[in-house]
Amino acid sequence: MVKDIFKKADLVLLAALLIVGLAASLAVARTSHDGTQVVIKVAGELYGQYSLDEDQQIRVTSGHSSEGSDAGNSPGTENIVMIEGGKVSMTSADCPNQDCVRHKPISKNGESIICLPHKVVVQIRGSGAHDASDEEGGYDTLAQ
Amino acid sequence: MTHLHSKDRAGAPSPLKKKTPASRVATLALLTTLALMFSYIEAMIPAPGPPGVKLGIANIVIVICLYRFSASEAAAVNLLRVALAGLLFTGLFGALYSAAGAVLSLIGMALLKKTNLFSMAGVSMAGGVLHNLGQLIVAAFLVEEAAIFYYFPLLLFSGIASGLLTGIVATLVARKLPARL
Repeated sequence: MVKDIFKKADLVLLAALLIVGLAASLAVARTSHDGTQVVIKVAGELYGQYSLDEDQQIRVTSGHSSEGSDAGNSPGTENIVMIEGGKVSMTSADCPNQDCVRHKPISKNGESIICLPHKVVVQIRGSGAHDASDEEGGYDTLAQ
Repeated sequence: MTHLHSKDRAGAPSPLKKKTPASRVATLALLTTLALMFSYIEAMIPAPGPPGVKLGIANIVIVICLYRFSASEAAAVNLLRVALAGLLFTGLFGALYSAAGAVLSLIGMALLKKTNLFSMAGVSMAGGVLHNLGQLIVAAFLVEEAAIFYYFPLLLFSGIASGLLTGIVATLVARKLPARL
């Protein structure tokens, strides 16, 4: 009965998926090493960039409606990011689902903690900090 | 047990055609509720890994729906379930990217089913992967950050695992279902 569940084509599909998965894992692993910069973006726009080596706490808020710029979505949202001992975590957020707060601390290049409702992305980048997905390009720090 | 590999509208008529519209609506409503219950149970379990890694047990109902009826019914049940779950417990964002995953996964599953090469479990496995991929794509758009695909390998493997698991359960359950659902 157990063998009746599957067909030959399933195994082919499984093998193909596993190969894709392996290739993707290798691609990710190759670019993954301890990062040095913590980049925080809100709704795609750079909010700030911080050194992973400096213990600090960053309050990411949105709701500043200056000149009609839309740095966030709902007024007065708040996420608190903590950099400590070379790791980054989201210590608090006032979003409904709290996935970001429950996320394990990150430290490697490319890892990220995301608060989807607030569109906050906290990502670790290497020392270059300028790569294909960096649209701003040229900022080292951004005074807030 | 021919209903397990029942053809679509192009082939032999499914048992559904012989029913009245009212009983069809009632059956689909029942299945939607069942899928919703599974979603609820799953929402109660605290999510261990990164967002997106989940069992997807509601898909047991969806896959059975796909095979028992057709892709349209499965889509209707699934999207309604996602909407209700969004209203009741997962929230707007949960519903949004669940819907994206559901759409991609259903299209893929319907196509694979049409080839008649794969088993229900295999189709479900592909569905699991596509569901996670759909969610990943929507998340990437929402946060406008391509590097989110860092999580692709993990979601791929977990999609395979959860798809296989629900597919096996769906196969076994479908065998026990009465011919007249």
